[in-house]
Amino acid sequence: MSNLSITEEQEGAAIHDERTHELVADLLPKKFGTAGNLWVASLFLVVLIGGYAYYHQLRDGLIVTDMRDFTSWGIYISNFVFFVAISLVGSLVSAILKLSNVEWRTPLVRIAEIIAVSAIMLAALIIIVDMGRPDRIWHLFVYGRIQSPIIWDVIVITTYFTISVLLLYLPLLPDLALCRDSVKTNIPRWRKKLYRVLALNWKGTRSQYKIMKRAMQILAVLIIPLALMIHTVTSWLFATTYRAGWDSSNFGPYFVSGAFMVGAASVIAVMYVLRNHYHLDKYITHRHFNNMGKLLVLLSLIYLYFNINEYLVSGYKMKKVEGEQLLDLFTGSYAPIFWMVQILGMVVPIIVLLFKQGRKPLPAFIIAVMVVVGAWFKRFLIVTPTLLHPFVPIQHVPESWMHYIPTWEEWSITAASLAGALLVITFFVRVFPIVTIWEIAEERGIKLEPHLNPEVK
Amino acid sequence: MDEFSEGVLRTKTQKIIRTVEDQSDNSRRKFLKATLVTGAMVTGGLGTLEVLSEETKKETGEKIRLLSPDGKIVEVDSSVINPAIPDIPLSAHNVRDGVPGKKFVMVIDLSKCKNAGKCRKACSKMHYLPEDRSYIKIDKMQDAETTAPYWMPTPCFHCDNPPCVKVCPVDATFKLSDGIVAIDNNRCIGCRFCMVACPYSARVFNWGEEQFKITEERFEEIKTHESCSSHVKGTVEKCDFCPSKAIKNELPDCVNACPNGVFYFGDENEDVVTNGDETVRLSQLLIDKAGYRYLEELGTKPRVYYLPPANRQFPFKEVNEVKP
Amino acid sequence: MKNCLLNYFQFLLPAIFLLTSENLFAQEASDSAQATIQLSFNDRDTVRQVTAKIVRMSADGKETPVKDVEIHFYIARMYSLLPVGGDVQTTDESGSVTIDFPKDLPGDSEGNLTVIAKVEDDDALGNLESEKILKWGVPVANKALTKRALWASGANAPIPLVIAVTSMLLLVWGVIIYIVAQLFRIKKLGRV
Repeated sequence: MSNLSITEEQEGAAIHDERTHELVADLLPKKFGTAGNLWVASLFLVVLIGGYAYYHQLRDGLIVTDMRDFTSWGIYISNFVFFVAISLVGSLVSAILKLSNVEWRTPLVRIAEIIAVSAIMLAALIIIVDMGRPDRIWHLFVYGRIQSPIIWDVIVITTYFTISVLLLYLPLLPDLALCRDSVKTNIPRWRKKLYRVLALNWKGTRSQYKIMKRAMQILAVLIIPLALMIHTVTSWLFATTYRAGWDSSNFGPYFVSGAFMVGAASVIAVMYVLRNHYHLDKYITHRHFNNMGKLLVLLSLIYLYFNINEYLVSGYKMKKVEGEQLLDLFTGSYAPIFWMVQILGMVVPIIVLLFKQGRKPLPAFIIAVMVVVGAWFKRFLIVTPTLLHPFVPIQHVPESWMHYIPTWEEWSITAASLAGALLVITFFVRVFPIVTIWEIAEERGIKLEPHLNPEVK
Repeated sequence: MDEFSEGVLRTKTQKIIRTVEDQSDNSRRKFLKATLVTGAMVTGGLGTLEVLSEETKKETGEKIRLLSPDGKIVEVDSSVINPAIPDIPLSAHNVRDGVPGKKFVMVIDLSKCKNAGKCRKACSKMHYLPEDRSYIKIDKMQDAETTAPYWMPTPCFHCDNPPCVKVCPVDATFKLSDGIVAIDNNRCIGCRFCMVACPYSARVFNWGEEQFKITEERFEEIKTHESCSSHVKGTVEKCDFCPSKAIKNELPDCVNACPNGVFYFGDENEDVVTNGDETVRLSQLLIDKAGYRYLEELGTKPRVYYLPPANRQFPFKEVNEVKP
Repeated sequence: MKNCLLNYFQFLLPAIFLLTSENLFAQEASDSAQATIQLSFNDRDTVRQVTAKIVRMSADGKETPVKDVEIHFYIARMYSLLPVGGDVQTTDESGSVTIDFPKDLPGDSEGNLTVIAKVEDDDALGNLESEKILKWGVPVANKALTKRALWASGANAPIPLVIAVTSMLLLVWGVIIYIVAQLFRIKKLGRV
């Protein structure tokens, strides 16, 4: 087989057939090998360096960044938008694909949902990092003004996070019971307790399944408008201002379509890594890469459509300041990044993924990573060039104020946030089954332990 | 009035000047006090003088020379000057209301501006700002390649439909009834949404301690009670139309400092603006000289009008970097 | 008491010059002859006029009009004095000047205006001033900011916004609370 430490998580009770044993052994959480430990250690290191940088920032103020009066928002904000964008994937897989009765989504649901949850958590953290007075965050709740798009964002993000956690948790219940009931010889006591407490007395009865499935259905319906809202409201942080490049009625759908695209790509990337590391080939198959690849093409085409709308329409008019900003993107100082993002981050992926060869696991993974990286820089291009083209010309200021080049503190905090998101996902994978065992069993007609059989469809 | 002796003459006229004596760190209290005074309308200047005169004030024998408004040097006994007028308790007054009955407005005459930079200097001095930051920016504007360049000073416009106030999540910036858009530096969380929302780039941010360090020399010139804004790290600031001067019936420092009479300031309700020398009816001035507002089409309804740079007093000259 | 009064006139009066941006005393005597400005107001249907007459009081109480003196007319404003009446005129033989007064000047909330007539730096008379408060202004009321608007305080948000956000919140969080309740139900069902 492989380097499974089966002894740790052996099925204790009666094993009904070999397939059950195999399924459970494949999918229950496994210990980290060397690679895993190295992975976690390096992520921790990145987080620690970021923590030190944040200490600098708390001590000296935001002056440790390269943000100044004209470029008053920087990569913290573009990183925030990036995380919110990725978080929409939870709704894509758990809800949209579910309600469309897309069967092949089953092994990917939990991956998508944990990506969503960790992305939202880090979005909230990075926005606190961006605040000039994080000690006053409670002002948002005591003195909040309902007219402010930031307050709308706080409300929507909180709500979306809650629903995402519920969408992650509810279908986790039968698997938690499985973990709880396995004979655990080497599992630390805290984990045994964790499973027991979180499993909520799950016995797999008909009524429990009924409640759980119905709750999933309700949440799936609820989260779709919420997902649309979360990124539309985030786009309104920009679109409610007058700035050239932001003053666009296109921003809502532009951001939402981009979010679905980068979310789908992140699922492809994560599922490739997990599949390879945990040998989940039987569950995450070529078919999944094929279909996710096709989905990514579709989402990318929609995003391309909104990109064209955004740039062509303003480019046609070339209004004074907006035109200067566009030229900066097309041919000016931001041209290299802009064309790299558009071509390598959007056009090339579309082309490659149109071919069946391109939708094999490895090419799909590479393309997915390109899309994710491109998406990060795309958000940077949304934030910074606009701020460098205000209506009032930037004059009589220090030369460094004329551009924005993030400092090491900003980079390390940003990297730490990305590492933090990966750490959350890693921790989850370590403790909980990343593929929904009971749903796979249901699909394949495998019987789990009697009391865990999903009798009710 | 500036040539007075060290014991700054505290006087009671139609308004009370409040001595902000509490120099504690609590900038909220400072802000509160400063704007409470702004809102106070005091009665009976004469009455209180009578009160003063009835006290048995011993003549110290020390004479102080003062300048009267009609240009006469007058000698008064120093006992007359009362440096520590006790605070008259003000009625419970909401600091977020502004000076009752006023609606401040400014007119900037672009035909007279030659980038002397005195407004910026005075404003920086008034607000304890360091050299490279100012609430007023003086930009070289050139509307088209074929049109003439001109200098344009831009303070905060205190818009009547303020985009910055709309987006503030914690009510840290707000519109007063006298037209001023004010900032509460103790409420601000430093999200800088107002900064990106302002299309006129009027706001500045306290990025770190360096940003508002005052050098020793500058500190000496500053009268301690002239502070208009509190520099709090991690919060936003901007031009505030100098409410601490308004309560003394004095024009903002930029208006007084300009040697060319570029800034006119006044009360829209009175329909009068003055630049220290000329006093004119606002409505007439805007009609006669075709006043307009910058980026009117955005719908922000600024309270600062511009008079176009026609019939210039000075030819446009590219001046070397004017030190604030 | 006498000492007090003496102080008052000798020391505080000059101080008063400093204190007040506009002199509060009407008919302030200059240091030379006792000339005064007398103000009279004429409000006919079509036009309003202010007449200022300069007279010199002689020792025996006889009034002598003074002519060829420039009189400036002002309205007291917050920061300064607004000139009214067009170009500066000089007194005629009867010692008076009449100007037309605009009808559309804003006053305070009751329409009060302070009209000031001044003689400035005259060779013979020095500085003279006279003022009067009367209701010749247009009353101006300053409304408090209680209107609901996007830029108002949180409590004065536009009603549609408040309704929209509140109802969405209640709906969504109502569902969430229901789901959480279902979780508890699952737990209860399993406790056999």
